[in-house]
Amino acid sequence: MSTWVTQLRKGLMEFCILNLLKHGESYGYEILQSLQQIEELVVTDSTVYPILTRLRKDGYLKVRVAPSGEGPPRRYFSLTVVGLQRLKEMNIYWHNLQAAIELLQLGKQAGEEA
Amino acid sequence: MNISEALAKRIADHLKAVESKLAALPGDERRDILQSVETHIYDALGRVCGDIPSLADLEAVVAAMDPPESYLSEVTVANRRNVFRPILYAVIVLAVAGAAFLLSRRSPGISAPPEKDANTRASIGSQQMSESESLRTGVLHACISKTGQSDIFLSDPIKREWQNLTKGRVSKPGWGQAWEPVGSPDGKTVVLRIYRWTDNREMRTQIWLLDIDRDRLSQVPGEFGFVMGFSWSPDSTRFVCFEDDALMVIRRDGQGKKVIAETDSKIGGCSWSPRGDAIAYTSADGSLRIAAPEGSSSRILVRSGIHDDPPCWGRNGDRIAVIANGLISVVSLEGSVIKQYGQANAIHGWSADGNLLAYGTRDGIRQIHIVSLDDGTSRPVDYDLDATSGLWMPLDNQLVFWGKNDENRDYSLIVCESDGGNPRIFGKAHTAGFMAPTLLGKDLISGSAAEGHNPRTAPAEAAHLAPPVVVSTIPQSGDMHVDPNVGRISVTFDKDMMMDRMWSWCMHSAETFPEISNQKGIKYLADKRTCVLPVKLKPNKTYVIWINTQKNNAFRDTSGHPAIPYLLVFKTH
Repeated sequence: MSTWVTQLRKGLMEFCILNLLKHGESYGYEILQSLQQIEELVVTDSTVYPILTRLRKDGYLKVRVAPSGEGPPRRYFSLTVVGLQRLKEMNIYWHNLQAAIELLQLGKQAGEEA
Repeated sequence: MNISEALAKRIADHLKAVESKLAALPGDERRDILQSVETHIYDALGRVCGDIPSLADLEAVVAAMDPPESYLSEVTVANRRNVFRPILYAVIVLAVAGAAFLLSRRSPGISAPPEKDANTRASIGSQQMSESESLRTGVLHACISKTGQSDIFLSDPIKREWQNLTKGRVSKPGWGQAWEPVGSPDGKTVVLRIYRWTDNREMRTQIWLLDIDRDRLSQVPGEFGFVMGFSWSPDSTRFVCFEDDALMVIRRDGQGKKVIAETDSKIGGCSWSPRGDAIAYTSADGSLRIAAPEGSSSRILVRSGIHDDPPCWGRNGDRIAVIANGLISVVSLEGSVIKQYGQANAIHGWSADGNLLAYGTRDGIRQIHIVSLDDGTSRPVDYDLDATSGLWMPLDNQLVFWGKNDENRDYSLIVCESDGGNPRIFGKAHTAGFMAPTLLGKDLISGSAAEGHNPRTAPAEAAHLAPPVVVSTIPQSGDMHVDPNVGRISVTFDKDMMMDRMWSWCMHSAETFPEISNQKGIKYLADKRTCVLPVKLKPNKTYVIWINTQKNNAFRDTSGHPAIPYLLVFKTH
């Protein structure tokens, strides 16, 4: 069970970050804090920061550097047009997947009335 | 944030340890991650430790993060394609150099506020400021000087003068920076706090009072937990603050500490009504509450959805601006929402004329906006960098705020016009910019504003021009357990009043107005400020009385100024 949960969390992390940034730009620590509000995700820094870097490298996120009151400049991440498009596709896929799994849980075939 | 060499070294060590686990990554990705880790440390330190963190604070922050080894597994999974790199060594060298460069930029630099030559940005004008030894009113702010000394400064953007009020006297060995200076409206006293962390990570706070006339510092007896939220009573005799979930009032002489309300969750901010008879406060449970300064009663105005920032009283004390569910909301003293405006993350205050409200938003950087309460139109202050902590000057509705300079990370005190235009720097700080500036001698500045007089010679004129306000009533407004046999209601104003049948005890409705037991018994007391209404009250009944209204305003001071209307509400047991 624990392995399955761990793998599921990891798989969802990119999806969660993109959805979080849909609502506006944010910086690493703040993204981490927001995701940590979702207890089931059990997010830590070593998970989030490499994913942010990868999403940026893949062109789904862009970075704006701005001064911080606390120390070094903060890097604010936001969705690129490509990232937004990818998120739309992911959300559609997620919706379809969720519906299909619900049907599966109910013991019904796709197309049947729930 | 003031980072010692020992802390900088510890941070560098941690970054190197993380970096060693990122060896499989290209240099740019590695730097990306290291920058995220580094800013994480600073953000976490700022969140839990304030401005001068200790090594123990840093260790706690690092301990709460993933160990460097965790990065190895994440990176290996995410970047298998980059495992082998022939120029690995060179990349490591570059990354180390990058980290070292970042660290070198973060020197614990300190600059003295305000500087005489503050022209650091071409797009914003600056005022030539000169040092003074005789300022008595102006904008208060805390700062660390070039010598590392923690001090409280007073700046006057109109006179273009600044003054160091404390000159090192609040720098205590083992204690952090002097913090949150709040000036009394009469310009005679500043309350401030200093803090330290104990070995078991508990915060201890000392509250200090600076007597401006005598130039003397005195400590409020005892040490406290985490105390903040200073707000003065309008008559300058007391101030309120909170310690975790307890709201407490302390006299100007530092004595008479009294807890007046306690909540189930931490208090977020508090503010003394300009009428003097109520203290509004927010709580982490999302509620907005009001307490009587004497501690006799408290009530909930709004149960949930309120941000735990300091509530912001309207000038007449008849409404409070808060952020409710992300929206600027103006709430009546009955708890109903009078008006809502756009989204905000901070409310900075009402203008002196009560027509404008300054608020903050954050979309990456923080920006200050000004909304007109008449038509709801909003406009941003003309400053394109990080701006926060707005404060309205009573004079000409000018707005003072902290602006962040993105080049050298200095904060500048900036003053602009009420339309948000013509911003110019008049003071600087290096590390304490996020502390909201406050006013010292608000009453004196207000009086001088009307007549253009020198603030230091204008207290009599100021008192003469301001309308009288209710400072206390018996029973207190909001008291839900009044003895029905009390026999009389009284109101006390802050000024001498016209006494010859000059009163306006007015009905809200016939049902809620008390029976007057003796019409001839209505009178002023010898203090010339207290008017008494003989009444016969019924048990278990709510009474609502207007003390002056817009139409009926016979409560007037000796100059004929009508008192600001006041709604007295109470219930008998």
